[in-house]
Amino acid sequence: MRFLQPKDTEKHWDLVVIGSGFGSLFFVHKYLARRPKDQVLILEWGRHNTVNWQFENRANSEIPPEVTYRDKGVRKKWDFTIGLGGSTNSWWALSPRMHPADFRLQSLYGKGVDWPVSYDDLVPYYSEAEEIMTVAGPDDLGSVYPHSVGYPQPPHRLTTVDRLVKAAMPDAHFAIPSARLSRPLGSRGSCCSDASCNLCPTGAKYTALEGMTSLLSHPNVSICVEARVRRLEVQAGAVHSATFTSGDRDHETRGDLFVLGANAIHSPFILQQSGLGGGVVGRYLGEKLLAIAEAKLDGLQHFDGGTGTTAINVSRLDGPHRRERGSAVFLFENNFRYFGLRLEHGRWREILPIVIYIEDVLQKDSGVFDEGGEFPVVRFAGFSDYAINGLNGAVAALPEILKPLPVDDIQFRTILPTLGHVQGTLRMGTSAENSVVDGGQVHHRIRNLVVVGTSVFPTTGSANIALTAAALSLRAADRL
Amino acid sequence: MQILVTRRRLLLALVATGASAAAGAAWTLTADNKSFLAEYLQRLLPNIRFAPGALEDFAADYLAYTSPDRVANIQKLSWIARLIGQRGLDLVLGGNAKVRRFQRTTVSILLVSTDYFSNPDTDEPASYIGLLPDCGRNPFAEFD
Repeated sequence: MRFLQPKDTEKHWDLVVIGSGFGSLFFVHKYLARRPKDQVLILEWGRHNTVNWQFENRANSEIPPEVTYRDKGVRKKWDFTIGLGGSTNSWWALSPRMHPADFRLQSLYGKGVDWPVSYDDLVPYYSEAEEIMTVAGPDDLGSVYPHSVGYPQPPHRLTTVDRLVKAAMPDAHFAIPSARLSRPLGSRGSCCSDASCNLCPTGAKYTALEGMTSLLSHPNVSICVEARVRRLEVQAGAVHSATFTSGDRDHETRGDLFVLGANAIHSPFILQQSGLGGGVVGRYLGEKLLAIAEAKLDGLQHFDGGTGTTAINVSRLDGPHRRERGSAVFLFENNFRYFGLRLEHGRWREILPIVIYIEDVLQKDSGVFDEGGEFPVVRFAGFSDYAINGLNGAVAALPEILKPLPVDDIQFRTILPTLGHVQGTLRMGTSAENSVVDGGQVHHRIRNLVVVGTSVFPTTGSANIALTAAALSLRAADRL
Repeated sequence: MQILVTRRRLLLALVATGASAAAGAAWTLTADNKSFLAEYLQRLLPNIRFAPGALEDFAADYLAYTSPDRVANIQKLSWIARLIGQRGLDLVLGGNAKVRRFQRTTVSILLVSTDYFSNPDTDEPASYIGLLPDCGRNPFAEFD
């Protein structure tokens, strides 16, 4: 990798990229495929924390996310990773697509907004992202996610629990696609089912540092770490330069095209600090609701699958219920990290943890604000009734979903503080009045500014977000 | 099963998570925690025989490795046990959901840190192998 000192960045680049997570790196991947001679500079706030550093420190970054914003609304955690590779370091690699209806929530169910991008628009880029990430998944998901024709790697082994549920509801219960290798590949081992995926011990998980070394080492890619971008300078309707702080000095770097991919809290703050706030910039901050339930099994031994989360149940993913309550997916956990094994002697494994993702409708009152300090202020209005209704509906559906299993008892356990799926603050849409960027993720007014990552998501859906962020970036770069 | 999650209940849960962490910072680790934790775990697992020193070794590693918040909570349990004994602790807090979660996760970490699951049919006492820091380690996983 070609790391530059801050002063060496002070020149003109073809492309300046702010942030180095999924959104940024998948954009650069496609951009360089089309413009291999262009010179690219990546500015990253955090350090280059090697895999060894992350293991030794049991952390993905030396900067805890909560010190980078001030929380003034309903108290809630927001999780992201600041460092080279961004959240590719810390994610858990679950990689289902978003559902076609997720892009048309307003048209179909009168909730939220429609995306200016359809599922069909994204299909080729989903497939490309799955290929790049070497996703392991089943070959029967096409009924849920059309044109999903198979994955680069076979799925991880299902648990006995999954096989029973799959037999009873073959069209709703699937091995979950995940960017964790089910078979060794090159120097990367396969998943060890350790369920400590933020620090994957075998290299099975796709990360930028493990899976994008050729991109990060591309001769035309330069990287400057510990470079916190503070603002963009706009001249004649175009971004002229980016000013970043490194150490106690400010530096300015110029470019033709700028890609903003910090995260959904810091990207809008950079625009606000640049005088590009107002409208809906920073608004609609949110994420899905994350809940956990457990089923006590009667004589059935669990945890015999091949990865930490083995299956996704989509029986409440889409349907008319979305007029009233959020979509839900159920992840069948093959680990006991949340609540442990059972305590009864000999019945240790007779427990099934289930993680539930609930869609929320993003609210304009929730957002990121520049109130004059060093860091953005986050004001969250709380999850909406749509999400709460979705949770209640999902929990009520569990007895039906688990009917094929010998279940003694089902208990709702808790709601976790964050899913790490922060999104919405620079939403895409059809006009500058209702959004910040267009369907190609180009700023409505500043046409040499592209926003990538989950900040552009106008609705949450109920799927994991990284694959969609990656696919969107591939498409955005392809359309330039 | 009937559960109704209200908006208020959800907000309270989110606030409680933060408040609990803040309160924990006021507590400090003492050497008594190790013997307390070893005894506490043996009480939770009366049917498992551990090799001499195994529980103490695990407790020492666990306390050194676990988060300050959790150590602070163990300290609180230790203090209560000193006042009313371990049996009293079971009576007073046995039904508490947070304590129950602590019991299950800590027991899980202990068991996967021993050879208990790898030698299910042996009469030998369970030996401590070494701390696996998170209780996600899955000795039951099978692969294709």
